[in-house]
Amino acid sequence: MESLISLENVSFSYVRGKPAVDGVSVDFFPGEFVAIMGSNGSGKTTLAKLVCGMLKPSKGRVLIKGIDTRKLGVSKVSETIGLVFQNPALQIFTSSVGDELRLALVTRGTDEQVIRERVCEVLKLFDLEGYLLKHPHMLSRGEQQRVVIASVVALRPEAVILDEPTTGQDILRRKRMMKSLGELNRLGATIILITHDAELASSCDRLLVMSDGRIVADGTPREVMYDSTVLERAGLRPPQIVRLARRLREKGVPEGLISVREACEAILRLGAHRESLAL
Amino acid sequence: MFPLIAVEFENVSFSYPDTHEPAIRGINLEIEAGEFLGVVGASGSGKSTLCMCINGLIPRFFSGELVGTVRVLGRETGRFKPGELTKLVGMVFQNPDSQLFSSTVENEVAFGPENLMIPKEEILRRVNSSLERVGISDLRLRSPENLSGGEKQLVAIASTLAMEPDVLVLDEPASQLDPQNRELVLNTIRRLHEEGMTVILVEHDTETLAEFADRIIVMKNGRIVCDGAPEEVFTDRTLLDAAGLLPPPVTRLSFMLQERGVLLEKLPVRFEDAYRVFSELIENGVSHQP
Repeated sequence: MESLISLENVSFSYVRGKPAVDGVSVDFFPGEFVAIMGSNGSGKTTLAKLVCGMLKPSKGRVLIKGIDTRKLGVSKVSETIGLVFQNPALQIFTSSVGDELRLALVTRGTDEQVIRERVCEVLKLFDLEGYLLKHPHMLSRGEQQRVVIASVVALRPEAVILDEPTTGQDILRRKRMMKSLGELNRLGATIILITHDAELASSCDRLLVMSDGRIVADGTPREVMYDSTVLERAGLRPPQIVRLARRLREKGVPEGLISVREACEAILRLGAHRESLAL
Repeated sequence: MFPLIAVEFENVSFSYPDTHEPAIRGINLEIEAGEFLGVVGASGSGKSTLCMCINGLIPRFFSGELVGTVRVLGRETGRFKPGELTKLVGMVFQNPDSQLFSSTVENEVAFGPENLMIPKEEILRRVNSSLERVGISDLRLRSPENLSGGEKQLVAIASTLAMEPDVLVLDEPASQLDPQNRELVLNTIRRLHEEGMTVILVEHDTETLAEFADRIIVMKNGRIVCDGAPEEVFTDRTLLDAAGLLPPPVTRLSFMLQERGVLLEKLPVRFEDAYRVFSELIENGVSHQP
């Protein structure tokens, strides 16, 4: 499959001699749901900005569908890739949720009928019905975050990069947001999710771990979450279920369990086996 | 001997100006000295409002209608002179940047006691001891601006400790931190509690609260809808669903096993308990519910 986003040996430094992203080569393919983890300062946000063309690499190149971001420019890249910043206040300009959702569509000269449809669609998708006339600055951080995601998704980008979108969201909202992103992904969009939440990351198809500006792990969550050397070096902790499975390994629980459901099946299987032995 | 009550709410309701619904209502709560109380609930359920009633920001700073009585160490919060309550209740917010303003960590931590007009030697003693208790003596001369999020939050905690409070209220102090910094801050809070501090911690993550807190209150629509030990609260499925809470993964695992008909005498909420319970299940075999 042809990659949607391709980084070729990309480095970027804000300060000379101190690369924030250091020789990264990675490809993102259409329809992937990727999580990126890493401690603060590991280069995650810089990587996101490089992908959407806001920053141009000091070394190497970033290709969007084969074209260098240096040639494309930010607005051209934004037709393919939407970025949702960590701080939603940076990305809100207008005085009503409705205007906010319309803004970029209007700027692009989208047909009014289409605009209405798209706005309706994202209001539903991100749990924002009834918010149309509200002032974005009167909303909570979590609500603002959803408005920003909705405004990006309304543009129908082929990929959406989200920088810690679940900060400030309570559990229920977090679950709903993941459901909306999952739906978006099923419709064909590539999702790249930067997160500190190990359980969220475990539910993605692919997991990248960054440390000191480099990608130190790239695999399925099942592989990466059991690689304790890499996780420790990157300052990360596996999710509780993985830690439990590892402790229970001596009792026969297999490696590679990643979800509560898988742990449940393993315990049932092992428990049933012993039961039949006892009989 | 009766336990010492650190904080007491008696039928407390509070409404912000120009709102129809009270942010908290009919709150009755006694928090014993030395307790570690976890506060959970969905966004907008009243957790922060509850916190701000304890340190007197409500009603002193936020106008609105306060009904009922809040007492700290037996005295109504309204009867303290301005500044007096800050000596008893330390408060740490979600975003450390909103709380730090000095050029060095040392000045930041000294700022509170300086305002109490206490002698210089005493201020120095407090700065030293606060930095030490939080484990950041080495950051003393650094600028808070250049610290990591976790370190900043530790400076905010040290600053409140310099006031030598009896009660520490923390409103999601770790929610914006990466995992490493999060652990740093939470472990520090745990250590302060072990040294005898009364801790009130607002936190979304039930896994953390199950490990740390002695007692949990669940808030919903401004009310306390449950009050109990973590092993009671986080295993009550009806309550969790109603309040929009997700229990720790190990508890969800035991729920799922129950659904599959497995007999479980005790539903674990903490990691070590879970390890024991599930080890036994595997070793002794699962028994199914009759």
